[in-house]
Amino acid sequence: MNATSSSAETNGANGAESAAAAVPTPSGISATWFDGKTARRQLVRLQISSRTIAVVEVTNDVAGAEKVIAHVPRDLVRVSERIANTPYRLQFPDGALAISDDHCSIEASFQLSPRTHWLSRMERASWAVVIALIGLFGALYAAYEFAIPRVAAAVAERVPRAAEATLGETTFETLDGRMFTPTKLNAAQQSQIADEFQKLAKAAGLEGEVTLKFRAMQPNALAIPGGTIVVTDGLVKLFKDDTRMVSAVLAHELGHVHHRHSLKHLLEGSVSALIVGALAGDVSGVSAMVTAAPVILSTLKYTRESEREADQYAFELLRKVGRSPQDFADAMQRLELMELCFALQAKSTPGGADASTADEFDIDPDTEDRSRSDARKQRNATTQARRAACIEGLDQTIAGRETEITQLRKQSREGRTGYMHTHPVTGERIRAAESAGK
Amino acid sequence: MTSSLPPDLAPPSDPLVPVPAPAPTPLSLIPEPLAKPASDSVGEGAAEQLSEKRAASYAAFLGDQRAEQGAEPNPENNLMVLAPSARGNERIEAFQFTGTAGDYFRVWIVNTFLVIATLGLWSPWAKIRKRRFFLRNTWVAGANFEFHASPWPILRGRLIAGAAFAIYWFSGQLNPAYAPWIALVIALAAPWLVVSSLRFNLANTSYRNLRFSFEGKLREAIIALWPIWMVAISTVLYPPVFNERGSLARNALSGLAYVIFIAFYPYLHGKMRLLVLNHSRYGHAPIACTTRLRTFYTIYGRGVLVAIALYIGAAIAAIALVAPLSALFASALASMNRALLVVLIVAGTLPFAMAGLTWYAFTQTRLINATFNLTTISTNIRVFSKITTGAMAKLYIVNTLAVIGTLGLAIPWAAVRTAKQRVETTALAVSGDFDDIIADAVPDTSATADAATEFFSLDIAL
Repeated sequence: MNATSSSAETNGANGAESAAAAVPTPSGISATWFDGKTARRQLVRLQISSRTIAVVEVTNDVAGAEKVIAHVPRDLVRVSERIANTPYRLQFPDGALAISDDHCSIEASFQLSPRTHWLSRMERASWAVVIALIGLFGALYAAYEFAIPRVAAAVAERVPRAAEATLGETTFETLDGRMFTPTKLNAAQQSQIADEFQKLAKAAGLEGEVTLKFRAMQPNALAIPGGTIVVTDGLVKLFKDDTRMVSAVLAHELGHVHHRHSLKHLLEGSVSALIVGALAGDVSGVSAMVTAAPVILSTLKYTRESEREADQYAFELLRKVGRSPQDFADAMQRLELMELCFALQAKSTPGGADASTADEFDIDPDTEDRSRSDARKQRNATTQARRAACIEGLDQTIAGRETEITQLRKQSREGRTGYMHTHPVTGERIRAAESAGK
Repeated sequence: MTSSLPPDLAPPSDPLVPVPAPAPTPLSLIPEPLAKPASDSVGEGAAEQLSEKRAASYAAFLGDQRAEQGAEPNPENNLMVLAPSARGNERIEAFQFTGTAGDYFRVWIVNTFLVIATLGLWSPWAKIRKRRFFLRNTWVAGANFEFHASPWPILRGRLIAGAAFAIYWFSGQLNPAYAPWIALVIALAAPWLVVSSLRFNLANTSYRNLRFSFEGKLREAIIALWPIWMVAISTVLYPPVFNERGSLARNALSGLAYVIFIAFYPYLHGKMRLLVLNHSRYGHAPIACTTRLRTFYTIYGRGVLVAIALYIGAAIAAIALVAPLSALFASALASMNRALLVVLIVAGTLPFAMAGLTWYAFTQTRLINATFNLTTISTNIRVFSKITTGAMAKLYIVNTLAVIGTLGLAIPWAAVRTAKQRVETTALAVSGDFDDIIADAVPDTSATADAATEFFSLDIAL
């Protein structure tokens, strides 16, 4: 079977049929024949004219007469689309099937145009592959950068707050059982902060939708789904009861509540996982790392963006109640100083730092990150004392070590350390707050 | 050996789960001289000649292993790692995968782009195209497979299943207290979903222009899957959450769901495979598998020992990697160097990821061999399988590293390699020929349940 003979046949237009009939022997396209009634396999030749197809059995008998198995109008035979180099499938009207990998001859005989099988053409054309490659990466980037966060934000805003309530309760109970201990702040301290909180909530238009709770833990503040905001004893101690700084942090947390960040992160994570799953779904037996890594990376980005968004919200809210964004800059600087103090102490202690330090002092980490702090229970007393010195006695501990602190800060601003609040991004956030405060 | 009874022939490796890759089509590789209808008598001599001819390819395929001579006291256990030997009147037809990574890359990138560009609406067309690529490139005895599903019912099914999944996912996320109840509903529906999905996939797969079919009933699926009902019910009754402040008895009960799941894990996996292999037909020819349940427990029992060994090995490797690194960079660590932290986390995680893949390869290959090697199609075709743990583990580890290293561009390459490995470790031992296998009616099927099994990750892949 060669392409020339069959295409010559087709080109021969009118004369083709009679010509095919007149020249009986080994012409035609070689194919394999399955009648659709049994699993029998027969080698055949397809003799295709402009109007009909004759299927001729190939036998081992050298002298044997050829047997025509089928002879049908060409229009009634359906040719499958082509996938890579797999054979064409010719579906005959009575359910029989011929397959042939003589692609050229089939295409010529059936006068298949590029349009008939546009998808096959695209897959075979290098330009289409290049466009698809660029388009795929472009589309994924656009989804990651714009589409996912915007759609998630739009959806989150439209979900009633009540929907988060149960999630919030469950989350809070879990935290209460594992990380929090009852607060040791006295009534006066509590009511002072609670008053500030009410004032901010009212200005934010979130009155009645948010609740403030006090719990003992390392310096931190958390916005939990459903509108609960937790302030820790550590934070109040670190700020030395300075209401200005506590309010600034509360304003930031209210920003998370206002923008529905916990729900938004939930949506973003699900959509990222769905997309990655759809892409990687082709391979079985690839480690879960493959699908987990991109989802984690995108989540980190979205979390960072939420922090900036909450910062901006805090600046405006602070101005609204007659405060200055500079308060927030002060609070962030104080947190940064605390971590520089940790680093300083770790450096001067032979044991070095413990690895969990990096994750624990975010001002409001996503609640799921919290489980990691279970490890805190194992932390030794030395570390506890060291930390207490940096929280409750921060000013005394770093007194006289300004040069070292400055050097450490410079290092960390260059991105060479892993403490959350010494990260370069923190520097940006502080600068943003300072410039908003001017 | 010419008068075989009913028709028979069966697709071997994973007709259900097509694998990828196109290539030159060896249509005429096997010029079986089966012609002549009058050949009831012709068969004898030709078949003998053939079986001699194929002894060579059989030796190449099996490495002349003999399961009967294996080391296991229980002969059936030998079949977990070795294929049986062919009988005198059988010829071996090895499966072949002709697809190449280059070809599949083109199919994959174009269709994946279209899926993303159409926000997922192209996915049924992409699914069909990709599956056809794998099935059309899977050859045995001079013929390949085909996938027949049409895209519109799949699209409809995916929209319905996708909506159900979205409701399930978000209500579970937003209200953790509902999650066990929703899981219970899905568990209750699982047998029906599995049966419908198998019916859809098998009825839409053909070989030699004859369709497969699944005729298992709900009853059989319930027998295979009832343990997941137990898991779901015990999750509702005793949520598997450890509570420090809870009583000892309460916390012990919270482990109930895990205990049931682990105890029935071999049962679930084994019965699911048997469900497919014992209730399917090729054309009119029945497919049957005689592997016993205890074999699955043997496999996973050994799997536990292998898991312990792998875990210890991974822990040693992780320490051996991390310890010198941390000692080397102690001062950098003290100031919490970010890049170093990432390196240490990866060095600590990688050995465990590889151990996990190796364990998966171990149990998966034994499960495949133990079932395929006792599977017959009609009366005259046996399935042979000799997939090995080492080859699969190596394949999975290399695939993982390649996919990560190329930011996903190696996915088609990995898929083709996996398909080739799985397809080409399978063969059919055929006595007589396929001619007697006749067609059966093609049943009505629905694509919705199949879409649901995809979304809810009910793994029914062979």
